[in-house]
Amino acid sequence: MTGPEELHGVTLLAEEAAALAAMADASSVAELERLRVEWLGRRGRVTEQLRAVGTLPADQRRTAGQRLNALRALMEKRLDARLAECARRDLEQRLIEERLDLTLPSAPPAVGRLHPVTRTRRRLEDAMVRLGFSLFEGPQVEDEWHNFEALNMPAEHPAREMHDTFYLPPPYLLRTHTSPFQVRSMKAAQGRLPLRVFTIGTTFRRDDDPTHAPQFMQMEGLLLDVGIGLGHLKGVVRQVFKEVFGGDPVLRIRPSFFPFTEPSVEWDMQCTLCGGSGCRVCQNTGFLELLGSGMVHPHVIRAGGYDPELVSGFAFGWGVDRLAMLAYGIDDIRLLYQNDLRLLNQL
Amino acid sequence: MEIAASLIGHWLREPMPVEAMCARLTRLGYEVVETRPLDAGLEPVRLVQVVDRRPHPSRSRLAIVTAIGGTEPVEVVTGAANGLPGERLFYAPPGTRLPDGRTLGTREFGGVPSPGMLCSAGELGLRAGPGDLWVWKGPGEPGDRYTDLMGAETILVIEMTPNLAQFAQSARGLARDLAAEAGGRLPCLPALQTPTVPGRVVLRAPDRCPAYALYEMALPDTDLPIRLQRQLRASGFRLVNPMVDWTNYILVDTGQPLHAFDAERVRLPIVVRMAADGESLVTLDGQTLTLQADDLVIADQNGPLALAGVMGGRDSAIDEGTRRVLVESAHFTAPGIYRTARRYNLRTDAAERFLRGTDPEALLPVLGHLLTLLGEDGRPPTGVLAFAGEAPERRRAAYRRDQIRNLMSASWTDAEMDGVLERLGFVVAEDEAVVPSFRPDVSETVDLAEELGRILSLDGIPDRVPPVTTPAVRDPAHRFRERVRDLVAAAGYTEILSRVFVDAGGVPGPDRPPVVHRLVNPLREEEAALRTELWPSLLETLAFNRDRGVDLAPLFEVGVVYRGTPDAPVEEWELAAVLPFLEDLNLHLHLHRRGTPDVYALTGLVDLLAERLHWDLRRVSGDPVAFLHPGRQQKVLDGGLLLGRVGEIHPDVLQGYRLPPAGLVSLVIRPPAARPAPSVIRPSRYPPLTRDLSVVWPDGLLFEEARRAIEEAGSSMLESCVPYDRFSGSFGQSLTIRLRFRAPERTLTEDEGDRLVQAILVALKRHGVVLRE
Repeated sequence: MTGPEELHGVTLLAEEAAALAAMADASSVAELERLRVEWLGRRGRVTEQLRAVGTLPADQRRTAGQRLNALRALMEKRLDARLAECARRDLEQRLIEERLDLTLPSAPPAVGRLHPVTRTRRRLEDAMVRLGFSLFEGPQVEDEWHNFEALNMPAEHPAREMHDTFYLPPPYLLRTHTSPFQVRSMKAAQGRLPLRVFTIGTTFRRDDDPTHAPQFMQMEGLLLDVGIGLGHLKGVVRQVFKEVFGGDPVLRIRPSFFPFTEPSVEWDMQCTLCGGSGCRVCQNTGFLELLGSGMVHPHVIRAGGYDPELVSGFAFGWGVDRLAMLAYGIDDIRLLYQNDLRLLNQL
Repeated sequence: MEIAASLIGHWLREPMPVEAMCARLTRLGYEVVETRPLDAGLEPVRLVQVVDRRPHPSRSRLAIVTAIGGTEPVEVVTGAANGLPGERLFYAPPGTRLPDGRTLGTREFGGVPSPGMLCSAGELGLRAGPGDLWVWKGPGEPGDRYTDLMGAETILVIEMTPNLAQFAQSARGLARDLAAEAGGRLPCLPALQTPTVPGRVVLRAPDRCPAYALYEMALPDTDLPIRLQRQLRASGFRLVNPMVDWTNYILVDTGQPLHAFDAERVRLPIVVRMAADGESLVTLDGQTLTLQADDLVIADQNGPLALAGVMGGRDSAIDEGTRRVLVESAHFTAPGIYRTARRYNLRTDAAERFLRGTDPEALLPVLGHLLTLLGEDGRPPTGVLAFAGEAPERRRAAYRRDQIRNLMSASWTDAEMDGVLERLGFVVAEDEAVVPSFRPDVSETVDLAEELGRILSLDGIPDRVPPVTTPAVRDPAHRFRERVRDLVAAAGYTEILSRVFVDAGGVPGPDRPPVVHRLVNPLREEEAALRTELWPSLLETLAFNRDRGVDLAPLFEVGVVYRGTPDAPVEEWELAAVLPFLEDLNLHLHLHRRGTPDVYALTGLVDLLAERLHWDLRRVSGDPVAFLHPGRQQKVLDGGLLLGRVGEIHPDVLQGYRLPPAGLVSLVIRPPAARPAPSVIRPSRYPPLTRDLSVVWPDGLLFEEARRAIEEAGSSMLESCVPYDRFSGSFGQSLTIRLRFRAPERTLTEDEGDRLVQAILVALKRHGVVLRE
């Protein structure tokens, strides 16, 4: 039989030393709980002995009490330490068992998405607002005067034929372009200057092929003030291109024709896809025809209630769908409005 | 338009390479969108010399011709009568693509293989006679390429804007601008030195036809030289017969349409007059037109001969029997020609010029040009000239140099500007410019500014940026719609943009509102009206996707609907959202146990819009509409205003689209007035007290009513009241409601909780709701 062991200054009986060892080795929470009850529970062996200290002779009480309290503390500490270890181990075990296959399809938040034309429209709107143009909206069911006459396209003007118009009972039609907004915004401004506005919205032409949809979207800007010249048009339109495409796009201008501007200027941008060497998107020309512009025709300024002798201005516009098609690499405009979810979900 | 590069080039003093011509035309506003060689496909064709001709062994009408030129002798079977030894012909080997579209191969005739063919002029798109095969008399050696012998001819495809088409729809018109840009002017057309004979032409409608020339001569037997034939073909014309081809040539070369009548079928004098209403004319293409009083006709003593400026008549047309011709060179004013051409849908080359504007002073010079060309073989034709009327006086345009410089932001000198205008044919004075007769498009200073910009180049004008003096704004209504879009998309709906066109009969289904606005000229019958509601487009889109085997998904659109009356259209912005009630919206999500959506997801969408957008939307039951489930729908109101509906779509409507159960929200978007920000209630620091009540629910009681009773009885201590379980038993319907109480400044005691629950039970009892035993 071995003599009494001593641990942390506590003299231990053999079975107490064995219990402490068992506590250190216990491999489960349940076993630890059993040991705690056996030794430290209400009827545990240490508890019972502590309770019995009072019955000891007076000279032994002090040492026995001290020893038992120290033993209890020792056991509690050992139990707690081991308990923490077991809990940690159990948790680790559980975490291993809870392993999931995260290559299974995910469950993303059910968020919808905006139509690519809406997103392109917003990009253009934001660019225009940054450049100081206020949004002005006009009706889609337009009257013939605002759509044609006021824009220097009298009846029987051949230029009207460029606009395959959807007619409603007179005097109404579906606007063939956003340009009626020029006269409408001038009238609304009632002589105030400068007038720095833009519009963006749905327009209609009686056309249906891969490059022309009967319903499409245009954006148009207008700046009217004293002393505005073609140089201002060039400066502002270049800014618009920079805002929308970023960087410093390579631009080419050509004289063009719109009945409501004179002179008229067409803007081509070096193809962003091939860098000008020619590809399918630019039809091997190296350039993309993107924007029409011009100095507002005196007749239009007059129709808007301003005096063309005193003020001048410029207007410019482009197709929102066309820019969306370019941005998303779509070559058939009808795809944009078919709302095939397989397409929308890619964009 | 298509035009031969060499035809433009022949007007210029200096030769201009095609590439440079294209670049300069584009810079001048004539966008060259395509160039292609006239002889594309004919590259393998070469000149050969016949060395032998022997009869075909079995076919009496065929011969076998051996020819040399190029690599090795070829033997070709021919049915032509010529192609005799010593003659030089054009041989097209296999692989040649002829102008008529045929690609040649090797064929067998009676057992004799014949690779490619010996060509007639017609097979090469030209006209040369006599004989079947084209016997070449020009320079060159056997083996020379056809394309080298002919010289390159390039077709320019020009996108002509309407303003430029008014004066530049011809080689001469385009050349004038090229010359002016390079600092030069075009040579004048030759003057016609023939006395005129009176009495042959009478003008009855001088505002529609101010001037008219007629030249009578023998039908010319001079054909167009090969070079001119090729220029004509490269300008988009087919060869017809020499007389027609000459007039077409003049048309494309100068822009002035000519018309030739068979002189023996015309009883002079010619009368240019308005048609009588109902008068009829058989045109060249065989149509019988019933004319109107607004049509101008060329008539003789028997009646209308031609629809002036648009198309000739069949009865006075030249044909094989024609011996003498009357060549008309006239000026018709544009708007009238435009109306007539459009009325009968006759877009001829002549009408295409007249309706945009031609040169009233060119009538005689152009005839002179024709006679010069006809006389180039040394036999100038002689004839009788008649002329009536006069060209209108030239217009004067205000010419304000400073205004132009300001408008163009340019620093051009007076001399620079004057020089350009003079080269373009203007006569420049102090403050005005006399407009040349061929420029119907110019009438004021801005028109001159445009010309100067084109010729002097827009590239040199410096960029300027006017400062922004006022902040830019967007309309609040517009911003509100954008917030609606963002919120509905965030809520799981995908935005679509649909077409506004619907069937004139409206959308099928019970109780549909009729369409208001019908198109006069729809693309198709089923798209003949404008929509009055948005949501049917969403169902169509679902059906469209379903038909393509695509999983259905929640969709929405914010778009315009067209209401009001035909006389007073009203455009309203609407939101429509559709949610299919499908478990397998995304099949794999079953793995993650997501629930099936139902109509509450849609009432929830309305509530979300109300809460997040501070939009005073209220859902109210009653007044059911037929397109929704009668027991599962509500109105959506803003104040007293009905904005729309929310609910499950009626099975009959869904049946029409063959769609599974689905619900919708359909709302007019009327942005709410701005409201002060709501005041915030400071959250309590104390714990809540939670009680669950299981109650028996009487039939027909709306939760809304009970909730109001609970809220009143629960006082300010009631934090929330959520029904979370429902089942039925012998007692009827039961509902379990979780009540949560909380006080702002203290912890509620159990006793207080009991008292609050008691008060709530008393209040509920008034609605017939009792605690379940």
